[in-house]
Amino acid sequence: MAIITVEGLTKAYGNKTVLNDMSFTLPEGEVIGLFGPNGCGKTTLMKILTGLIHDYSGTVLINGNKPSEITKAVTAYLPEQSFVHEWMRNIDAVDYFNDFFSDFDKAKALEMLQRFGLDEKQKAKTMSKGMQEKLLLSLTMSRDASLYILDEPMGGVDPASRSAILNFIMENYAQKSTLLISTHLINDLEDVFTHALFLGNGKALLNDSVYNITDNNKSIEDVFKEVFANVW
Amino acid sequence: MFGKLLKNDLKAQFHSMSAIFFAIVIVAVGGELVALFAKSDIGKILGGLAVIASLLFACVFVLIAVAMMYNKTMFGRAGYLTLTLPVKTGKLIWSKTISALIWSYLVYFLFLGSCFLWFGQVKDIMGEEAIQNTELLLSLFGAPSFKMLAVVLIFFAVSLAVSALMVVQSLFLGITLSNVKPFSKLGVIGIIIFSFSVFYCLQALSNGVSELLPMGMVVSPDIITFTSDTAKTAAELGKGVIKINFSGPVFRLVVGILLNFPVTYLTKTAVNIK
Repeated sequence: MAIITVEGLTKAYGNKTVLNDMSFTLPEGEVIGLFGPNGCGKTTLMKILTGLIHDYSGTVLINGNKPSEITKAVTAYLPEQSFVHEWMRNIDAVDYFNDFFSDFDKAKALEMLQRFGLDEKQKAKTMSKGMQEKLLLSLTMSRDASLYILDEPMGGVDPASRSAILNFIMENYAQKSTLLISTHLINDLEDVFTHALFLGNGKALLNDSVYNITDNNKSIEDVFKEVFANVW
Repeated sequence: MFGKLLKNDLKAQFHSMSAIFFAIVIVAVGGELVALFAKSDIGKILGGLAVIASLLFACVFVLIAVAMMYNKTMFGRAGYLTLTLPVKTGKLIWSKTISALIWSYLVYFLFLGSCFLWFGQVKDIMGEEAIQNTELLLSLFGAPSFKMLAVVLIFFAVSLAVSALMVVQSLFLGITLSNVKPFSKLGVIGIIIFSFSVFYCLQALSNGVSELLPMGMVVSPDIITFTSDTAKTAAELGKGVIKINFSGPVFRLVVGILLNFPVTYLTKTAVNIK
């Protein structure tokens, strides 16, 4: 069954069409890698799915519903940039999530903060980018969501912490749910993906299971190079 | 859910407002000290006036802070959090409106309170007899009695409080419009232009409604007359009367409530979070 259905999706920024009559469906219960070169529309697609961009044409459905408060209740989104208010302490951010998301597990979030070595009382504005990412990751992964949308979850994290964070994501996402992860760090995440979606030229260039696309002992990165060698 | 929204909005705004209220406390304490230690009555009166003036400025600063917070929490980085909450957009905007009104009313009531205290102070300094003589003198020129003037001032205060809803919603509409493409390129200038334009247009409409439906009351030196045509009644009663139209404030209240719809619609359909 498809958790995400996109039909004829078009989105332009001024004269530049980023998503051009794009159509695809993504299966439920998979760890999906969203790949593509810079500016191919990965973040735009994610923002449309989470209801942050509205001026697009075409149909976008999550579990059969258009992006709305219904889909927001079952979608956990980790954007590229920090969204926590500067005045918030880590504990305030946890309480905020606890107030609004019925699937949020406060005890789990506090445990995660401890695991990352984040002080509950520390304010967001005094934290480094990496620390803020860890906070956001703890908040997002403490939800028992049907769909997790993670935009470059390890973009600001040092290489040494990447595998720990990857393990953290894989340990903590609600089983049977779907994970949609955009990343340039294909090598680091290669093993966790079960499905891949390649975006380029405003279209979904490849949308298949990792099992199928890595046939002949190819890695996802090899496939990436093959696909985009012809596109750019 | 609405209660939680309101609680969190008040909490978030507290961090911006606390600086303004801290400044108010400093000025109020300073004003009181001047009044306490001033040797002349003029010094005491000026100390009180300084407090009133600072609270008047604070009313404006609160509105500026409200506008900045709204732009930041809805369309700035924090919009990623606000607009991915499983809450209807209309509710989000109502929560921000009500929390903005709570802060505005708080500083507004402090302003009214300081005016009241200052008047009491002036009364004490001048003495009851001097006040009565002033009232008598003014009545010779056809001015209403102080009691009547108090009624007018109370109405004026209520009218301003009602208008605050329209002011806040105009700000929100202006900010939302300034975040719609292609206006989003204008930045802060866009916010200022749109907010003032929206408010100016609605105020002009409100004045028009007041002219068309002149229901209200006419305050003459001795009596208050409720009427469906304030202009006609005022002309009948002669000079020295004050006309107060009810239709304007009622219009502003209704518009303030209705403005939630275009703000919600634009936020849901036309604004993209950067």
